[in-house]
This record gives sequence, C-alpha cells and structure tokens, in this order.
Amino acid sequence: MSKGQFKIQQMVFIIVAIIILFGIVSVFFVSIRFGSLRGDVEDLRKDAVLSQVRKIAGTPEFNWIASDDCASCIDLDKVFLLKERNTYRGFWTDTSLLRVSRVYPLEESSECTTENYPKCNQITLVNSGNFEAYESFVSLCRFDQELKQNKCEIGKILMGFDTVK
Amino acid sequence: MNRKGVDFTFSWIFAIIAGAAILGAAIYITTQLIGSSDTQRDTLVAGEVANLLNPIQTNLEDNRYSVINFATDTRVYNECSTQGTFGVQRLSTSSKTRNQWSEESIRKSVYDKYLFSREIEETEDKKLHIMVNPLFAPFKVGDVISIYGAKYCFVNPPDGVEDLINDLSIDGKQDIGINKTNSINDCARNVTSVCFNRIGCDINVNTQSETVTKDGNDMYYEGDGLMFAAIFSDYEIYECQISRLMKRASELGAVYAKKAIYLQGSGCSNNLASDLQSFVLAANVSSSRDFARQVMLIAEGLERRSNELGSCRVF
Repeated sequence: MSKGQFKIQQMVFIIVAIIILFGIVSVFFVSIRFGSLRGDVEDLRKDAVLSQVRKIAGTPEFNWIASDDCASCIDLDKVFLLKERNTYRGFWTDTSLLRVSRVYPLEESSECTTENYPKCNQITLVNSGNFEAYESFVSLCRFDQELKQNKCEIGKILMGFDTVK
Repeated sequence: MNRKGVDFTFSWIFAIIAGAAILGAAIYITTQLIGSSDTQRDTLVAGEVANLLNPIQTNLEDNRYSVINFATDTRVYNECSTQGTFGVQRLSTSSKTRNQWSEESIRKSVYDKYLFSREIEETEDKKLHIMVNPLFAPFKVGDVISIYGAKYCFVNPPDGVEDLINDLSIDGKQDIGINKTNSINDCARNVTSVCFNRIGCDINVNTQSETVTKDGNDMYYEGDGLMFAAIFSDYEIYECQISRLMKRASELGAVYAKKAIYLQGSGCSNNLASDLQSFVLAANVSSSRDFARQVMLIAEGLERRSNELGSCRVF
C-alpha cells in the first residue's frame, strides 16, 4: 500500500469515527429530548383532565337544570341517555375514561343498561387505553318514579387520560 | 519533493471538503433543532391555553372575565371548522423570539369549546382578555368564549352593556381592555371604536335589530354574550362558531327529546318530545341570521313550556 492510499484510508477511518460519534451524540440527545417531550405531553393531558373533572358537572351534557342553585349536580337521566348516542364518541378530547359512579346508596347491578336503569351503579361514557384517573364528588339527580319528585344521591365523576407509552 | 507536495494538497483538499460537509451538517441540524424547539414550545403553549379555558367555564354564573398572561408576545391562531357532528375548534400559537415571529405551532383540536376572536389574535402587553358567557337556546348549549388582545372603545353603550362592563372591570378597578366614552372623538387613535345605535365607528352595533356590522358584514346576535363575541370576532369565525354551537344544540335537543319520552313513561307528562325533535331539525343552521331569527324563536317557546312543568321540567 502506497503512502497516499494509506493516508486516504486513515482519513476514511477518521470520518467514519466522526460520523459514529455524531450518531451516538444524536441518539443520546434525541432520547433526552423525547423523554422531556413525553413528560410535557403527559403533564398537559393531566392538567386537562384535572381542570375538566372539576368543571364537567356544569357542562350542558351533565348539568342538572331543575334546581338553579346546584353547581355540582348531575342529571343522571341525561347522562344515561348520552351513553346511547354514538355521536359523542371522541367529543371529550384527551380523555380515555369518563365514568359517573354512584357512591351511596349502592345498588346490586354495576354498569347501567336499559334493563336495569336506574337501579345500577355506574355509567361509562368513555373507556379506552391505559389511563391515570382522577375523581370529583357530585350529586346524581333524577326524577324518581316512585317518589314522583326529584331525588339526588351521592356520586362521583371519574376522568382519566391516556398515559404516553 | 513533488510526491510530498501532491500528498499534502490532497490531504488538505480532503480535510477541507469533509470538514465543510460536517460543519454544514452540524449548522443545519442545529438550526432545525432550534426551529423544532420553538414549534414544540408553541405547541405546548397552545395546549396550555386550551387547558386554561377549562377552569373559566361557566357553571351557574352569568358571565366571567379572566386574563391570560404570556411570557412573550404571542399570537393565537383561531381556526374553526363545521365538519363532523360538532365541528372542531383548532388552536395554535406562535411567539416572538429574537424579534421574529416563530412558525405557527401544531394545532390543538377541541370539540367542546367555542372561541370567538380574530383569526390571528395578538397579545397586547403580553396578555389576552377572555370573556365567557353561557349560551342558552333554550337549554345551556355551551360557553361563548370571547378572546381579545386589542383595546376597544365603546361609544355610548346602552345601560345593560355599561353595567356588564362595570361588573367585569369591578367598577373600573380592573383593566378589561374596554373603555367607555360618550363621543367617538374621545377614543384613542390606536384603539378599535365601537358605536352603539349610530354609525361612524370601526364596528357598529344596532341593539334594535341585534346586529353587529364589521367590515361590511352583518353578524346577528341574541344576548350580551354573543354581542361581545360578534364585536371581537372576524365574520367567518363568528358564523362558523354559531353554526358549531347550533350543531351541539341539535345533539343536546335529541338527548332532551329522549329524556322527555323517558319522563313521560315515568309518569311525568310533558308533551315536549315532538317539539324537541322539530328543534333538532331547525337548529342545523349555517348562518347567525337563521340562528337569531328562527332558532331562538323556537327556543323561547320551548323554554316557556318547560318552565311550566315544575318538577317534571325536562331542561
């Protein structure tokens, strides 16, 4: 091998080494960057769910109108009827769990269906993915067929957000 | 001697070309990273703005006012689309760094919010004013969220509007970006003037016909919340958000129609189901004129009938 060829080979090795070094540094940098980005996205989703779970009782789909002075009352009949409507799929963005549960008094059946409503304990509107959930206590109000008047019971709203894989 | 000279020249040429290529690549990557870092930051800001709109939603209140303070001068891009069941609100931002506006961030889509503003709303003194009013038609449909950064001068506002401004500004102690005067000449040059029941301002409001005229376009409103929304919005955004609100009213109407049938079966006579079904069809409007002139009339009738039902109220 002539000296010139040796020099060329030497430089090729150096360039390859520099490229590998750049590659390693880039991978390291990108992993740190995406790690922080993942954290930021999770924080945003968590903030969204935390801020929504406190206010969702006042949204048109949940609010109880028969009483003008109850900010944390939910119209249980409306929420149950909402469950039947496919059009609401995807309406609550960044939410992978949205459930209204009875706290007291508890009934025998778990999930509400057209057969067991209102003698049931929970109405699930959204349930998908791996979620981290937060809850807020509310009053579940409806017109009681037996009492022939409005009735409120203790319940809670659970909201969860998709954790970033 | 000659061979050594050739060898030296080749090494230098090779080193310069390789060095330049590596340096060029490094500069390019760094520039791209700075750009994507700006986009990333602005995208997070857009998400945070969307999140900040959650706690200021109304519950039992009539209206609310709030301010968002930004770390830098910021532009909020408001995009509204009527596609889909509920339409969609897209929100993005860009910020002023190194005396230049960054590129528009990735858009955050939300379906349950209605932002009324100009297409590009810019902060003034790094802050944006937010006014939130619930819309009832006849049940609560959503919150009308008006966002504005610019200053406004209201000329001769009627008593109701003046009272509302006084309430929100806590009798002038809080700067809500709106000044009241009796003459257009008292308005500063760099502010947007709004005349009530007269012409000659940048924006003219007719409280008799309930219209806001801006850039030659008439926007129809019902109630103070939508009047403010029309003042602060671009025409296209206003019409689109009204259409989106009516799409939601239509969906809610369908839920209430089912509730009316359910309550009827539970011994709560109401006879509202068929009227609510008619409302569902009527609520699919594409203009604020149809909303104010048609939908609100039906809504008023429904509200009257529902209020007469006592504990059997459907909404």
